[in-house]
Amino acid sequence: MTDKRPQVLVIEDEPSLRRFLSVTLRTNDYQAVEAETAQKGLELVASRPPDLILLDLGLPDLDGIELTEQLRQWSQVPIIVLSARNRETDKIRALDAGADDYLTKPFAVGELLARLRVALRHRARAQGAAGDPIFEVGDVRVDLARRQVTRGGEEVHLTPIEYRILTLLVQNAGKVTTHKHLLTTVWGPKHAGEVHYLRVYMAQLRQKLEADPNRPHLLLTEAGIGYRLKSE
Amino acid sequence: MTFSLGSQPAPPARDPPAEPTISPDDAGPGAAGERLLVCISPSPLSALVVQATWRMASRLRVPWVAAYVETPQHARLSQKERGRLTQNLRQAELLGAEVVTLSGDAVASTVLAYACRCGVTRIVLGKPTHPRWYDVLFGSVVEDIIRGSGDIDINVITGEPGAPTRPPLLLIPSQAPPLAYGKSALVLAVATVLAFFVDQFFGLTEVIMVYLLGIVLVALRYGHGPALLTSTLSVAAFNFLFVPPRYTFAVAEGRYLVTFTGMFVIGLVISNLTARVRWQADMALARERHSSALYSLTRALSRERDTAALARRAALHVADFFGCQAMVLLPRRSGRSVASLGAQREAPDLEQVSGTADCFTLDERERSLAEWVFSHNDIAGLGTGTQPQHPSLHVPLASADRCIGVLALRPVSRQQLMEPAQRNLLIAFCDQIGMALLRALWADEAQRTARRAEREELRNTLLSSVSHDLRTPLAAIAGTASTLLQQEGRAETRMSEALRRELLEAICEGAEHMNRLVINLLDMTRLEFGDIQLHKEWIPLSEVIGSALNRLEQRLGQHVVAVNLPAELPLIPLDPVLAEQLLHNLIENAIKYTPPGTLIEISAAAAPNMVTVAVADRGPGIPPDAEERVFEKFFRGPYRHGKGGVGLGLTICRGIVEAHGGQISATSRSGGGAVFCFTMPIEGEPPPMPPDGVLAESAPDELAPQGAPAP
Repeated sequence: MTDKRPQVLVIEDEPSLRRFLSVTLRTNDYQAVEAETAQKGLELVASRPPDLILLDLGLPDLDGIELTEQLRQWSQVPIIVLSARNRETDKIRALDAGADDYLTKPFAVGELLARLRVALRHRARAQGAAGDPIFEVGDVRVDLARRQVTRGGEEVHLTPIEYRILTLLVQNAGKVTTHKHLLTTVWGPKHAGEVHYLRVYMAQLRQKLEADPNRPHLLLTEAGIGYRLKSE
Repeated sequence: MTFSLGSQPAPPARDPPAEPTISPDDAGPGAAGERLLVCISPSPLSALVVQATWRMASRLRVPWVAAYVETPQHARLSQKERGRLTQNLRQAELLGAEVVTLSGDAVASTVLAYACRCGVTRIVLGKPTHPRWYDVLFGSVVEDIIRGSGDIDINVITGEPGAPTRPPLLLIPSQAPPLAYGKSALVLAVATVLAFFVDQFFGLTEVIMVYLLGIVLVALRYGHGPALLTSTLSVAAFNFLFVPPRYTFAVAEGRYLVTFTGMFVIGLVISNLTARVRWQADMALARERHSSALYSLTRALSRERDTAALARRAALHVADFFGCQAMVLLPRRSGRSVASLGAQREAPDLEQVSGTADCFTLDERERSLAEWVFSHNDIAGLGTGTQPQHPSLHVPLASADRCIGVLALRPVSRQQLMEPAQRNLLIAFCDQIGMALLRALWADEAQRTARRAEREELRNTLLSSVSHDLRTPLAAIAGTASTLLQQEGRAETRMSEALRRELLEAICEGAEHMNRLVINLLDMTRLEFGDIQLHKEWIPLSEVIGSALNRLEQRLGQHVVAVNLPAELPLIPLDPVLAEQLLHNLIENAIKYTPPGTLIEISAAAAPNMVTVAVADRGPGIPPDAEERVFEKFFRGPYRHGKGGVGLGLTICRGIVEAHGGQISATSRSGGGAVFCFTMPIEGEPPPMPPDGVLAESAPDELAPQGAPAP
């Protein structure tokens, strides 16, 4: 008999956190497989391909970023990295290396489960499930097919760049989208360092889409890393 | 004394001692106010006089001065005499005398002037050994001093007979280069041509004047050696060319012999006088150079704070001034305090901290000599009493009897630093350097102590604070969790669902609280250690405020937040993560100290090159006199609502603001409440934005109709 529940591989060296993650996953309809080292994690990914990996960045035997790079050479399994605060550079490097999202320790269970859901949803879409051309969150509705954005039923006029940024965020809805990804996609690789372009456009987007642009609830800032469009 | 001078010494110019120039400390425990002075010369006799003076001074228990007068004759001293002079001075120094080198035209007047100035009560002289006629002819220093001594006692001590005497200095030795002689011959030739013209129209007297003019010119220009030659040649030329019978050296009339003699003597006197004036000017120039060098050294040293920089500057200065290679050696700073520095007697392990541009390294012998100098606090090496054949000279840099370092000098030539004047200046330099080094060392030490004390205090406060603040939530978590665990499986005493939930919430709350504490402690530690590297980016303030508010979503609870930003607020160069933390801490502080339901206002204003941000609340305000203290570590206000932190949040804010070059302040608000204001400087301009519509790929992303144009 095959278990239909999504299988999550937890690569974490700290036993208490590993146990907490396993218990949380099992009580929330996931299968949990544990690995305490990067080596064991790699073997498990090869032998029993999981649906998702929760990867701690501070492993004793191999840097989590290197592990991500290695995995990405042959596997597209979603990876969510777990990292401490003040390690923004590590997070960016992990995301650049191919990680899908990150969680800052300590994190709440609700946050963890939301990330898992988002990651699995994106994986399903990547595997060919038809993407919904319509994205809706709060009172904002983005119709990718008709290139139409409405807020509270009223059409919102966006400039080409604003629209471009928004579509990228919608494609990654729920996940963090790094500055670099947004900049290289919208302005080209030459402008990958000009984060202030992005910041100015994000401020404009918030003016148009947020109820209170100074207290955004949809277009969230991940300080020093990127942006996240709330998806649920 | 064996000094005599050709010219008659002028009566000593004496100023009456206007005030007692001797301090009680100097006078010592013996005869109050007594002070001896001994004159030193290169003569071997001088050593005996020094010893006698030392015996006298120690019997009377009074301070004594050994003085050497540098006169024009000094240049004529042989190598041997110079060595003996240095030795005599050194002997006096070793016997406890204060050694001074004076420079003057005549020994007697110089010594007397110094004696009056410095409150000397008795002068000790060596009895002259030369015959009486000598004194009559050339004058006697002893006689002159006795005559001009006034109320100063003079002791004349018998030296050993047979000491060599130097013939009196009629002529000041010449150091003119050979070229000067050639040039003076040219002047003579010109004078002769001129003399032919003069002879055509006037008489022989005018011809003599022309030649004398030439002599004066040469004496002024090239010194007295060439002038002497010119005098001789002028007489010869005058005789040969103008005195009848012409073009022979024969002289027709006897009176011309008087003319020749007169002309020669006048030439001689002129040249000697001019040379003396020149010498005095040179001396004055040298003195002025010395004092200005000392002054500039002192100035340069006073600007340096750091010991190594100070040593480097000192070495450069010495090398520059003396035209030699110089290096300062300091004991290795392996955490050794200044106090133990001077006391160190065994192998001091000196470290070369500075060298000149053409840096030289000490060989094994030099190093051991430097170590000897350091441990004995005594000069050694080239031309000194210790290892005089050594190629380099090592001078202790000492202050208050403590050797702080060693100045090693490697002169280009062996003569370079042998001059007493040079040596004295070098010692003066070293005294200054020593004092400056000691000052720097003490300053270092004081700073280290202060820093240590501060760290100690911080650690203690941190420890007590951490142990209390972390243990409290930890106790709650552990206690609650164990209670829940105990109840597990006991069906009979099973607690209500509501109670269970309450306990579980307490665990979460305690953990959340601990998390905040740990974050603050870590941030604080990073700021404390200067471990923060700013990654400034141009950011709209709204984004920073937005993300800070987002992080505080849960904690804001019933607090109302009003953000009021002007529309035209410029981008600010900020570190995004730190700036978010700054706003986060300020808002969190407001939440902590104000009752639920009150308003927290965030506003900003732009000024040229600056943005001011204010976070205002309607809480109890800042306690009186605590405007500064609220930013101090572990300061906690008296009116907290709910659980407070460690008292680090605002300290972190200040750290972040200051790291950005801004300022933060806290004031009470009219109408109640507190305002936390910080400024952020805006330097430069963000790179221009590309126009909207220019995309990476020319994708027809047009949205019709185009509503809002890009700003």
